[in-house]
Amino acid sequence: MDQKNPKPITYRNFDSAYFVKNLNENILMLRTVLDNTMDLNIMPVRIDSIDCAVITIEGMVSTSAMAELIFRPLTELDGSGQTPQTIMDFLCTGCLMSNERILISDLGQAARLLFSGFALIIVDSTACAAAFGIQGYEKKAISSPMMENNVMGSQEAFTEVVRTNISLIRRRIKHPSLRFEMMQIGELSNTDVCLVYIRGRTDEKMVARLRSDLKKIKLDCILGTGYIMPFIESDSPRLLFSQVGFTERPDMLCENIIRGRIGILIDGNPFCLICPYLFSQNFASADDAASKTYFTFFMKLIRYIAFFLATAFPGIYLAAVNYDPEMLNAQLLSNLSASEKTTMLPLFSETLIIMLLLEVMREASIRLPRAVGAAMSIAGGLIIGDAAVKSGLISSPLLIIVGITATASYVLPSINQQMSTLRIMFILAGGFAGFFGITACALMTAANICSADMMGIAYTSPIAPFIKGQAADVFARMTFEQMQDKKTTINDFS
Amino acid sequence: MNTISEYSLAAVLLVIKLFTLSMYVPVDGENPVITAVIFTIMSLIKLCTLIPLFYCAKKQGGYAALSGRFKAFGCIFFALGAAGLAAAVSDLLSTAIESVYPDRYTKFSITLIFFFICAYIASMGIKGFSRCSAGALFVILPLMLFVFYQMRGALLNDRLNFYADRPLPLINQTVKNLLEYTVDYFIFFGLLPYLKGSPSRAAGIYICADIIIVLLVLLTSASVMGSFWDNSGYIFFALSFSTFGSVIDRSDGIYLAISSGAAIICGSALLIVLKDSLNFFNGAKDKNILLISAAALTAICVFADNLQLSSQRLITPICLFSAAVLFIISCISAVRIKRIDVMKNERTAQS
Repeated sequence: MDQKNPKPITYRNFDSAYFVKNLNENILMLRTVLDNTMDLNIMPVRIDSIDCAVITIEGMVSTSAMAELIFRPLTELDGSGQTPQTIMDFLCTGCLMSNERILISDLGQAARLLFSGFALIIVDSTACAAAFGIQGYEKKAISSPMMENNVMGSQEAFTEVVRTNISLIRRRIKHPSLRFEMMQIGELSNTDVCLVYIRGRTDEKMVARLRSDLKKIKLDCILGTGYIMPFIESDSPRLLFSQVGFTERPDMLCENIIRGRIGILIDGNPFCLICPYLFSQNFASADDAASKTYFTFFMKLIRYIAFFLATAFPGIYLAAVNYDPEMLNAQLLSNLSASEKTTMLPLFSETLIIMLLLEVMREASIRLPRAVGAAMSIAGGLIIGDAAVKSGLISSPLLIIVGITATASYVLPSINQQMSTLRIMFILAGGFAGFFGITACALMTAANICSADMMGIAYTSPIAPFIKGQAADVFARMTFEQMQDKKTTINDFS
Repeated sequence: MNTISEYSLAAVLLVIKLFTLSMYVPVDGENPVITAVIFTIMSLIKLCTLIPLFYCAKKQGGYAALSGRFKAFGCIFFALGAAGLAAAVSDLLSTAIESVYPDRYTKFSITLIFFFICAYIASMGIKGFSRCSAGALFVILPLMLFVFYQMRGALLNDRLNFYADRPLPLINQTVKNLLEYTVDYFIFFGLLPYLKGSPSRAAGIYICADIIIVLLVLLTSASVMGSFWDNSGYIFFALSFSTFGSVIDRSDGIYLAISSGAAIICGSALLIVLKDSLNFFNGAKDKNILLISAAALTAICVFADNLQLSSQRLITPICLFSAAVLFIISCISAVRIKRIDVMKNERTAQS
C-alpha cells in the first residue's frame, strides 16, 4: 500500500494518497494533508491495547452525538479480546453508530468527509478508516421567504444547508420518482451541488446535459447561484434575461420539478436554481394557485402592465413630450409646459439624473442596515423629492413618473436587474430618437428575448412558438381540472 | 439549422407588408377601389408565380430552392436584390422621418441607426427574428386599427366607386406603382430555405392575410380620403391632410413608430438573406459579415444621398432584375429537376 503514495504527501497531491497500516503514520499524513490546521481534533483511544484515533473537525460535529454514537460503543468493546480487524468489522457492520457509514481508504475522501462533518475512526494495523456522519454544525433555522412573499400557502423558505433543503422537498413529494443527485463542484470549496428532478417527468437528455455542464465547471469555489448560472446558460451568453430562474420557496420548486424542470440546490445558498425557465414564469407568483382563475388573470395583467411601466414608461413620456407633444391632451401639455419652465435642466437630463438617483436609492435601501431605514426614507422622499422640485432641479410631473416607475418595479423583484437596464435604455432611446428610438429599442429587446433557447425550449414558449392549450398559463393559470387531465410538463413546449 | 414555421413566415411577411402600406404613395388621380381590385388580381398572380418555387423547395430543400448548379448564380442575385432592397427601405424610412422631424433627424443618422439595429436583430438568428416579428405584428395591428378607428367620423363611403376618367392609363400607372411595393415577395423567396413546414401552405396563409390587410387599409384610407387622394404623398400624410389634421395628427408619433418598427423588421430580414448569400461565397459562417454588410449598406445609402441620387429609382431596376433572374433560375431548376426525375424513373423501369 505504501508504494502507492506520492512522496512527499502535501495538500496539493493528497487526492492520490492512501491510508497505511500504521496509525501514527496515518495521523501524520492527515496532519500534513490538512496542513496541521487548528480546528483538526485527534482523540487517541485504546481498545484492548489496540491504538485507535477518532478524528473530527472542530465545530462540524455534534458533541452529544459523538459521545452517544461513537465513544459509548467503543468503550463497550474494551476488554472483549479484540483484534484490529474485528474492531474495524464491528465499526462497519456490527453496530449502528450513525446512518451514514463509509469505509474509506484514500486521504482525499477522508479530508472531504471530515470537512462535511463526519468523524473518522482509524485503527492501528488497518489501512482504512471508518467515517460516520454525525454533523452538528450551527445553521440558520428554516424561516419565511424574504423575496417571494405570499399571503396564502406555505411560509417556509430554503436554508443554507443543502441536506435540510432536500428534506424540505422530500416532505412535499413523497414519491420514489423524486431523485436527488449530489456532486461536488469547486476545486477548493468542494461545494455540494444537488440536482433535483422527477424521473419520468424530466427529459433524461436535459438531465445529462445539465450534469455534464456542471461537471465542466473548474472554478475554485462555488459560493452562490451566480457562480453556476453562466455555465448552464452558456448557449446564449449575450441575452438580457436569464433562462435559469431561482426560487427560495420549496413549494415553488416542487411545482416546477413536477412540471419536468430540474432544480439545482447549492450548499450554503438559500436559493434553488430552476431550469429551463420561461419568460412568462417571471410573472407568476406563489399566490396564483390559491386565487380564483379570473383573479389570477387580473393579477398577471397587472404584473405585465407593471413591467411595461417600469421599463418603457419614462422613455415614452420623454419621447411624447420632446418629440410628439401633440399626442398629449392640451390641458396636460400646458401644465407640463408650465412646470418645465421652472426647471433649469432639459427634460432628458432631468429624467436621466432622477432615474440614476432612483437606482442609487434602491441600492442604498438594499445594502443599508435596517436601523437607518427610516433615515433613508426621509432623505429619499423629502430631501431628494420635495426639495429638488422646489429648487427647480426637477419638475413635479417627472416626479410622478418616477414614483409610478419605482412602484411598478417593486412588483417584479426577480427581474429587477433587467428592468433597471431596460429603463435606462428606453430613456436614452426616447431622449435621443423619440418614438423611432423607442420602437428600435423595443424591437431589439424583443429580438433578444425571443432568441433565447435552452435545451430546445424557447424562452418565450408557449406564446412564440405558440403552443395550443398551454398559453392559458401565460395570462392566467390552468384550472385544477385541466391540470389533472393534461399533466403538462416542460417537454410539451419543445 | 434554425427553422421557422409557416405562421412565423407569414407573420414576418405581413409586418413587411404593413411597412410597404404605410409608405405607399398613390399615383395622381388614383381610384383606390380600382387599386384594391388590381392588388387582389396581382396577389393571385403572385401565388401562381410561386408554384415553381414550391416545387423546387419541395424537391431540393436547398438554399433558395435552387439546385447546386445554380446556387452560386442565385446567391449573387439574392445578394444584389437584398442589398438593393435594404438600401431602398432605409431610404424610404429616413426620408419619411426626416420630413416629419426635419429639425431633429438627418438622413445620415437615421440610416446609421437603422442598419445598426437591423444587424443586431438579424444577429439574433432566424428564430429570434421571426418570433420578434410575430410579436411586433400583434402590437402593430391593434395600433393600426386604433388609428383607423380614430378616423371613423371621416368616412366617405359614397367615394368608394369604380369611376375613372381614363381607366386604361390609370390601371397601367397603378400596376407600375404597386410593383414597386413588392419587397415582401422577394423576402418570401429569400426566407424559404428556413421554412420547416410546407411552403405552399405558408404562401396560402400569407397571401390570404395579405389581401385582407391590404384591402382593409386601402379601402379605409380611400373612404376617408375620397377626392383628396390627389393631394397625397404617403398614405399617412394623405390621411392627415384629408381629415384636416383633426384626428390623425395626434397619432402621427404612433404611426411613425409603427412604420419604423416594420421597416426595421424588413431590413433585418433582408440582412439575413444578404448574410447567407455572402456566407455562401465566404465558405464558413462568418459572424462579422452582418456588421460588414450593414456598414457597407450604410455607406452606399449615405453616398447616394450625398450625390443627390434618388436611391429608390436606382435600386428598383436592380431589384426587379434580380427578382426576374431568380424567377427564371427557379423555373429552369424546376424543369431540370423534373427531367432528372423522369430519367431516373425511366432507368429504374428499364433495369
